[in-house]
Formats: sequence, C-alpha cells, structure tokens
Amino acid sequence: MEGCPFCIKAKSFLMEKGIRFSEIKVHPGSKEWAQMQQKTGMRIPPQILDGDEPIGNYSDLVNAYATGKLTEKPGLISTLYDVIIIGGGPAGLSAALYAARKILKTLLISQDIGGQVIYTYDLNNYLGFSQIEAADLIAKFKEHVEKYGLEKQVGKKVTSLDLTGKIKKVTSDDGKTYFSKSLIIATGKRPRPLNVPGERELIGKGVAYCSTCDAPLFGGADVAVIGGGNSALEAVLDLDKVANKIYMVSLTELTGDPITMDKVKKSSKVKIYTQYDVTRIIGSSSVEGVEIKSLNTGEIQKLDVEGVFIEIGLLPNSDLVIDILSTNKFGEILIDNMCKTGIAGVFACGDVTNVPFKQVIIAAGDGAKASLAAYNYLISQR
Amino acid sequence: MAKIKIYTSPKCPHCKMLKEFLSKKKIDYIAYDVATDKEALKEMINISDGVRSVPVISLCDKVIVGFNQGSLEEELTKCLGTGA
Ligand SMILES: Cc1cc2nc3c(=O)[nH]c(=O)nc-3n(C[C@H](O)[C@H](O)[C@H](O)COP(=O)(O)OP(=O)(O)OC[C@H]3O[C@@H](n4cnc5c(N)ncnc54)[C@H](O)[C@@H]3O)c2cc1C
Repeated sequence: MEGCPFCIKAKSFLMEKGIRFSEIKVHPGSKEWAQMQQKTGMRIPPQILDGDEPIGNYSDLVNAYATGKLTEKPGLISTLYDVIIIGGGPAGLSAALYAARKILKTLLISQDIGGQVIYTYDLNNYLGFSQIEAADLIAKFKEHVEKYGLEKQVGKKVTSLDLTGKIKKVTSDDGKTYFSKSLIIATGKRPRPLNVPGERELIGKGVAYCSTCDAPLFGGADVAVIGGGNSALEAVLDLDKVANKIYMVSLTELTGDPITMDKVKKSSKVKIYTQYDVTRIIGSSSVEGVEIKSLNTGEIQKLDVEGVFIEIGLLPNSDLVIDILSTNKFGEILIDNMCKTGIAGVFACGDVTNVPFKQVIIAAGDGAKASLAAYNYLISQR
Repeated sequence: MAKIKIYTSPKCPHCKMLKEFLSKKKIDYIAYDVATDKEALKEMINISDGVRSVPVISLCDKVIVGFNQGSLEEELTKCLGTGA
C-alpha cells in the first residue's frame, strides 16, 4: 500500500536477503484488499504470504527468517548453491575444480586469486614443475578452474557467516548474502603484524611484508628485518644484494635452515640483534627508523632505517568462525581427515586448518578432499 | 602515448599479473623497473606520496598502489572510457 513504511521495510528486507517475492498492491475497499483479508484474516498491510500460507506482518517476516523457517524452503531463495567456497588460494581453487567437475552449483568468493602464492617469486616443489614462477602457476590454476565455467566473486571479502540453519548464509563486504547447502572454508593465512605504533600507518611507505617484491626498492638504503626464522633469513638475503646495511632484530635466537643462517652470518652488511623486541616504527610520511628494546637490559635504542621488513610468521584467517568452530591454540580450524569441522555441511581445508606442513601441494590436495567430502555430504542429504 | 605508467620490480608476482592483465585487455602501458631505474623509483615515490612498494599504477590523474583487478577495472573505465 502507498504510504506504508512497513511495506517498504518488508520489501527491502526480502531484497537484501535474496528472497524472491511478488508484490500485490492493495488499498482499502479494493478487490486485492478483500483478498488479503480473506487469506490472512488481517486488515493491516503488509501481509506476507509464502504461497498461500500467511507468514504475518513485517516483524513476523523477520522472525521467520531468523528462525530459519524461510531459508529452509529452497524455492524462496534467489539462488541456492550446493557449495560456496571462501578463498581463492590453492586450496579454494582445487576445491572449486573438484566441485565443478562433480557438476555442483558452486560459488567461489575471494579477495584475490592466488592467495599467499602471490608473495613468492617462484616454486621448485610443486609436482610436475621443477621451477615455475608463482604468477604462471596461478595463471595455470585459474585457467584450469575456469574451463568448467566457475561462478566467482573476486575482490570481495566475506564479513560474516550464519551456520545455524541447514542452509548456510555467507555475507560479503558489499552487503550481499549468498545461500548454500554446504560451505568450504579455504581462507588460508596472512602475514602476522607486529602490532606496534607506526606499523599500520606506514605500510607500503617503508613497512613491508613481501621481500621478494619490495627488497629491490631499497638499493643503497639501511633497513631492518624483524624476525628470526627462515622467512626472515630469506628476506635478509634478498636485501643483502641491494641494501647498504641490514639490521636483523629477533626476540629469540635465530632458527632456520643452517645453510641460509650461515650465509646471513657471513655477510658483512648484516648486524644481528637477538633477544630484542620492536617497540615502535618511526616516521611521518615514510619510515625513518625503528625503536628496539633489549629483553635483557631493557635498554631502548633507535636504528635509523628507511625500510622495515616484517617476517614474524603467519596468522590463520579464521576470525569469521573463531567463536563458531573449534580451533587450536594458533587459531587454526580443527578438521578431521575428511576436512569436516564440528558443523555438518561445513568443511575447511588448506593453511587455515590444523593440517600439518603448509605447502601449495598440500593445500591443493586438501581442497580436493574437502570438495569430495562436501559432495558425499550433499548426496547423504538427498 | 600510453596513458598508463606502471612501476614494477622484476620478481614481483603482482607486477607480472598486472602486466598480463593489461596486455590481455590490449591496454597500452609503459613499465618502469624501479629495481634498476633510480629516476623512476624517485618519480614513483614522489607521485605516490612516499610509497615504496610495487606495483604502483599511474593512470589519468590517479595513483593506485597494488594490483586489485576489481578496483583497477573501475579506474580504467573512468580513465579510458567504457569498454576498457
Ligand atoms: C613467502 C612465501 C613463500 C612460500 N613458498 C612456498 C613454496 O616455495 N612452496 C610451497 O609449496 N608453498 C610455499 N608457501 C606456502 C603456500 O603459499 C601456502 O601453503 C598455500 O598458499 C596455502 O594455500 P591456501 O589456499 O590454504 O591459503 P592461501 O594461499 O592463504 O589463500 C587464502 C585465500 O583466501 C582468501 N581469503 C581470506 N580471507 C577471506 C575472506 N574473509 N573473504 C574472502 N576471501 C578471503 C585470500 O584472499 C586468499 O585468496 C609459501 C608461502 C609464503 C608466504
């Protein structure tokens, strides 16, 4: 009806939730008004009906949605996927390939295609390729998956999940909600931040997490590498080729591959600070220095550097489900050998899980497994 | 002359993906290797207000840091007109 705020609310609610509807306009005394009264016993619009079954007014509609009554009726939802895959790294792409080959109605949602593989120059341990550039491997993955006409939303971040009903709801940062009978979480990992003042503000302005990409931009400069493991050692070696002086700052003694460690220790450009913590990154429009503190003496000193490479490990992208699914102390989603999580129809795979050894080939294998397990689940639900 | 300049480094996968994306769309661009071209590095830092991370893309009056296909597509359409 015209001039009815709850009619407008009901329509935008249905639209936002992707629920199909048709609108019958009524005004007092009309044939449609009489019909409404006859079908619902009510005289005040809006009245919402599912087929011939009255749901009620706007707040009844919201309630029916919240309790899952509406979404449990597949016909009502604009598209109901068999499986939604979150993440476009090796695990998600492999899951997508297997799902597509099983002719499942599949949607892949990801912020990017490639995942962590984009942060490395080349790989020497992916079966079938003795040496391949990361960009080429990703292109091959993409081409293979696209052969099956995969539906995807790239550049979108999933911001919330509703896993309470049988139909899973996935909402992305553009406000859209998608519905699916099963879900595969393949959100991988991201670089762990230091969480010190100055870090966020100066990302890209001297603060870097990808030495492969950005080391060559620090020719002749003094720089710091934070971390004491293999990736930090690799970053030092990337910088050793171009930088003037490299400070390596680590909370602990250095750990990592002995050959790499040896190379780092032999370089005359490198000065190592172990048992030191970073307290602050200094700079207004770009990095000018880093403040470090000795764990033994508490003494603080400033290193004058133009770049700070942060290589202190990775964090699982499990924030979406941290309160819903079981995770281990690292925040990795616990799965069994069928990639099952604690919720029926919700699977996880790759680096975001407790699967040991984080490698491309392992993530890809795991993604295939998650997809086959989702397929079995869907068959069992028929 | 190409309206688009990109600043890249040789081993950066994002840079390679960006170049392939532009070539596929048949968009002309000039690429600078800031690992060896110091003048280009200076220019990149200048136009981007201090950015020292690749790739940096300069198109029309805009400077974009990083390669994100979705947002780049939007900017390309704005800069080059529809059909980009
Ligand atoms: C520097 C470096 C070098 C490496 N070198 C090698 C190597 O030589 N060999 C090897 O085998 N492995 C290597 N690895 C490890 C390998 O890259 C990972 O094991 C692999 O990428 C894991 O795949 P994944 O799909 O599980 O996760 P990821 O690759 O992390 O992919 C996760 C995906 O999920 C997306 N995502 C996350 N959260 C959301 C959200 N909320 N909404 C939407 N999308 C989201 C991300 O954008 C990304 O596309 C390296 C890793 C790094 C960092």
